[in-house]
Amino acid sequence: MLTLFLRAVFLDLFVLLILRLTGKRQVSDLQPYDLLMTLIIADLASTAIADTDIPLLYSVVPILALYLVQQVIAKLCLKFSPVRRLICGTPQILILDGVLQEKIMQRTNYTVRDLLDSLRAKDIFDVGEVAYAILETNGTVSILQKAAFQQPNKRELNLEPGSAALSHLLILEGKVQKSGLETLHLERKDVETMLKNHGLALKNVFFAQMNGDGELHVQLDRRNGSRVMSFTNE
Amino acid sequence: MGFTIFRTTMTILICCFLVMLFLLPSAILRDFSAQADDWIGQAENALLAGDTEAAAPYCAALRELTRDRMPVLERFLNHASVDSLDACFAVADLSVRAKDVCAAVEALAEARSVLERIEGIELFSWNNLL
Repeated sequence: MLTLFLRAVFLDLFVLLILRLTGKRQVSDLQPYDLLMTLIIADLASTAIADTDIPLLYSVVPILALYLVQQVIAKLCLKFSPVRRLICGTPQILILDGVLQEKIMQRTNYTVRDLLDSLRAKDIFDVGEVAYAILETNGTVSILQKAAFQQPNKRELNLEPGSAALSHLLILEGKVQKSGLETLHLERKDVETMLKNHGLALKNVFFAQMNGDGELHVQLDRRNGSRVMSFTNE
Repeated sequence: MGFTIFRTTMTILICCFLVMLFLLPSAILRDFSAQADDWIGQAENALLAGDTEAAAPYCAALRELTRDRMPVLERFLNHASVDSLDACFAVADLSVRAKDVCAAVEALAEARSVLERIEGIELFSWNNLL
């Protein structure tokens, strides 16, 4: 039993390493080919986990081989666009200038219902609002709405754009997050002072995030009623 | 950048590891099977001549050889195959000691067949590839 346990732990860590090395973070990133590789890797790993008659190398070697093939194909796809077209396919336009492309939909086995599903997932409930819908090679649908239905942006409305800086996590469950402090060039005492100025103690903070304008968004923990507040450093 | 360097390093290490795996286990298996095949042949000849005394050291040596190499062989061979080879040599050894020529010859023939099967699976050949 200990052998089974240790084999499972080893192969789990090994598969984790291989999947991290492939560089894909989530299933939606995967091309059909990558998804297939992931499934085969999982199957190979499970075989050696369950059967102690099989040496671990019987799973490790094929998994490494698949990883190497995947890396070679990824490099070829990057360097040669014909290879990329062959392996990954090309994006297909499903709606062109508001017109459903029946022929392409037939060729890609994409039904009108599938398309309507994808549109609804992007909060579009009327095909008439769509100028272009493109079926990407990873199976997602990208949509460009007709100009009349697009949301105006700040530039079009002549509004002050504001900063587009990222927000950083500063406090989590009463503990100051070092990475956030370093990114925002703050000291622990600066955060404590900010909180103190608003009558708050660090230990009572469940979550705090600071945005690019220096505004701190704070949520207190349950014992303090999960109160939410925002304030700046002034 | 850091991750790319890590991935490249890992890929190179994986390639080296695989090349080592292509060469080392084949060499170990070739060495083992050449030795075993030789001793099986010697034991068979002695047994066919009805000389169990002459066959006994070879059968004992075969059993010893398998026991010695078992931990290494099981790193890259199916454990069931190695166990079955070990069992064949054990039967041959005990049969020779009991002066049962038929059983010993049968066990050695089976061991040879298991050895050939292992070689057929593990050593590269176009037949296996297809």
